[in-house]
Amino acid sequence: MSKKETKTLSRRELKKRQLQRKTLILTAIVAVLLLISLCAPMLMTHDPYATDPLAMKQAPSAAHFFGTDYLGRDVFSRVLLGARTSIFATLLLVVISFVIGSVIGIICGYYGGWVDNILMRITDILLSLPQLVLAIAVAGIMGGGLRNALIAIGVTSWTSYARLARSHAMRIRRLPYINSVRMTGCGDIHILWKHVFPNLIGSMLVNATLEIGTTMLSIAGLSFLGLGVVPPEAEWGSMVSEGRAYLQLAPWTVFAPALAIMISVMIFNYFGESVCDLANINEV
Amino acid sequence: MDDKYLLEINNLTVTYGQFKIITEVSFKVRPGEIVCIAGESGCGKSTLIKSVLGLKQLGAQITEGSVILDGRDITRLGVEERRQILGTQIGYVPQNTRGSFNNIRKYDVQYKETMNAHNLPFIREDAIKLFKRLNFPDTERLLSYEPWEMSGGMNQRMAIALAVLQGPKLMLADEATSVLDVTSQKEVIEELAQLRDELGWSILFITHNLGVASHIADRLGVMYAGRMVEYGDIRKVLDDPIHPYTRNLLAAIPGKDRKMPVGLEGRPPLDGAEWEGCNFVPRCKYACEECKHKKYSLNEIVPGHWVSCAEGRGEK
Amino acid sequence: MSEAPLLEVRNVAKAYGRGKRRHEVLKNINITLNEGEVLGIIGESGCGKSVLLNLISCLEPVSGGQLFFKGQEYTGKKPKDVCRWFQVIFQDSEAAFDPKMTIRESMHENLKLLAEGTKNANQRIEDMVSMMGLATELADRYPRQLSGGQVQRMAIARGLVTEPNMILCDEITSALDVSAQAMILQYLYELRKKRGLTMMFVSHDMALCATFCDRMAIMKDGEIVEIGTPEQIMDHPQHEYTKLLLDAVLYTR
Repeated sequence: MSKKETKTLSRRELKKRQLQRKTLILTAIVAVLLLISLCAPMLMTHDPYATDPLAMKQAPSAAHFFGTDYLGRDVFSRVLLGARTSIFATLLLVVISFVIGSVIGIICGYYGGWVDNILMRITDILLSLPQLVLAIAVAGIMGGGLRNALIAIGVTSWTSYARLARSHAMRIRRLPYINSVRMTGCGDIHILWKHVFPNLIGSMLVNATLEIGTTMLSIAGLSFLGLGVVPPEAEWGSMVSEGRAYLQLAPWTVFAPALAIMISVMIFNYFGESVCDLANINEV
Repeated sequence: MDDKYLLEINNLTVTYGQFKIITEVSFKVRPGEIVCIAGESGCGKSTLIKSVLGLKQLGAQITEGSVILDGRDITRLGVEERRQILGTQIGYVPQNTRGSFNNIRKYDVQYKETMNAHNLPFIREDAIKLFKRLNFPDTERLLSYEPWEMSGGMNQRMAIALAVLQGPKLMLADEATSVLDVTSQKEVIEELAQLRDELGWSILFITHNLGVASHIADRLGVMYAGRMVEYGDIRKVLDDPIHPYTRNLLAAIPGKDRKMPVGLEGRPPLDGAEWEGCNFVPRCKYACEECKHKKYSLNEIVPGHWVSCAEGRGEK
Repeated sequence: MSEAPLLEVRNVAKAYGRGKRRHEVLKNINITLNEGEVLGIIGESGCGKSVLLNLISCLEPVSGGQLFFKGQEYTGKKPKDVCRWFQVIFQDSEAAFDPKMTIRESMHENLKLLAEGTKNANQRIEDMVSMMGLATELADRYPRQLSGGQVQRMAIARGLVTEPNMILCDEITSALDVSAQAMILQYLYELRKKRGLTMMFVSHDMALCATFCDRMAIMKDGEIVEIGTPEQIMDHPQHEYTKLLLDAVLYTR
């Protein structure tokens, strides 16, 4: 009988297992990526800030895996160190906007009324502004630096979480179980925390993983424009920006960080997508 | 005439993957006859209707037995051939009244589309004549309404009228009245009975509501966990139920006498169609060791009344 | 003077929307219900029968009229003020349990917030569950792991675990098979005998209500058109609409 059963696994079941495997592999890759960026100082072959006038714009070699830039700094080490800035800044921003957005969204969706009206009009205004332009304006006013860049992007990035959390909270508010919980005499905060939040956190997290890639690009974009991380510090976007002037002479100074951005964005996007698929298939 | 059947279902076994969901079901529908198949959720009655309509989309398949429509074996028809007979030979009224029409297109456009898809002309006057015959309200303007403006009951009646226009001989109704209010439910089943009388339709009606069955059916089949346990003339089955399950089922329905209905603990086994012996054993008060091994068979106990088990017959 | 009725609903009305979009769902509803009585409320979809339960249990505010519990007005109170008196049981009881909690956890919520002590919480839960004829280990499952009939019985057990004065049942059997429906009625009937439970039983099924209600109220378009004992309603209906409904009841024989 058991043999028969394994054969008769439905197509959905098979797909689910496939997805689980895929998600597991991608999770491992993401973990490796995080580990690399955490251990960057140990893996670096050179001091990423040490300039070397004798080794300027050198092509990739055994001594410098990704070559050197116009100041003779080792690109490989800079890319590794940049990973830490890029990835952790991204994750930090995603977490902060996730928390702020979710709280606002849940409150709006659950209570409705004028609270909802005011907060949602604010998000409408923020959503109608081009995100990058607004970020440039904010960063321009507040000056450069990673912290200001994060604030500049964060001003608008919470809105998408708020929207999603709001629609989920509105849906959950109408479910019968909320009424039965109200009949136990619970207060609103208890209902929000114990009964609304746990039932929307899943899909919110899925959305957050999907947003990691975009957020990473935004940060790199701001840095590229010179509004994010201030130059001597290693960050992929600003490295591309710095190397751009010497693109013909030392293309590796652009390619290495660009490739790093591309690969990590791709990894996070794939990761988000498979988490999303898995969540969907589990829900059915 | 007696040996002429419009629909014959012979020893039908349907499987999903390797699991049987219907086992050895047989019954026949004469022209002009209304056959009701009743049972509780999960007994396989909907699958039964889908095995006439086509099972491909469900991922299930007929592994044994045959479905014969008007002398023609339609057990293994392809999708395209089956599409040809749907509508013109077999009409279908689904359960979900909102799902049968596009909510925001006028009825006449949708009527026309469906008719043309079967290479039939759409004649407005015919439709209006039919509405009048069925006592629809506001017959003249009805076709220019959109489904969302109508109640669920009216929508269902429009779906039936559309099926009538295509002129099938056999009508399949899958829980066609169960989402309706009681008053519209009565209207719809009276309409179906009227159409049968006027057009000589055969109707295969699937329902969980034995009250509905009692009012329109000529013959009633009771299914339990993928098997037909009792089948026969409607009055014979309802007035003198023989199978322990049928008797339990009838006792659970509130009657005119206003006595408390009697329930039945437990639920049908999910893999009931797989069992060799009787699958009602876990809930049956007459069950014995022997029952678990006795081969299932439907026997004609009274002329026109078939039962798979007659244990405790006549007891209350 | 005789004791005040357990529940009195006086001239209650409910409307949604404002101005031109104002839409009246309930008009001039008057009900009195004595301790130990079972009142059936019958009507077709959209007649406002579920809204009425929401008003009585304070899940929604009334637009007009007054509500009394044991002669004392409670109009305008919040669910937490009345949940010791009433518990509502809904039609779709799987959705009436938080999907992320086991049945037992959900029941604990009820007990925690209602009863003085939670000392015997588990004992009380298990007693109630077995009183509904279910194995106590089923309480540790999630709602989706139970059958429709089982969840519905759990929902009733949850409603009763805090021993409210009255339960309000909103179409509690209409999503179930007849044998499961009959089981629920049997258990409710037992509870009535044992505890003198007061109930409001909203349903669209006249024949069902007639089997165990003391009185039946017929609702149409937000108004009660007729109210009386099952004998009066079933055998001598007065209102046209009652006759229409009665005519549409399909008996098996």
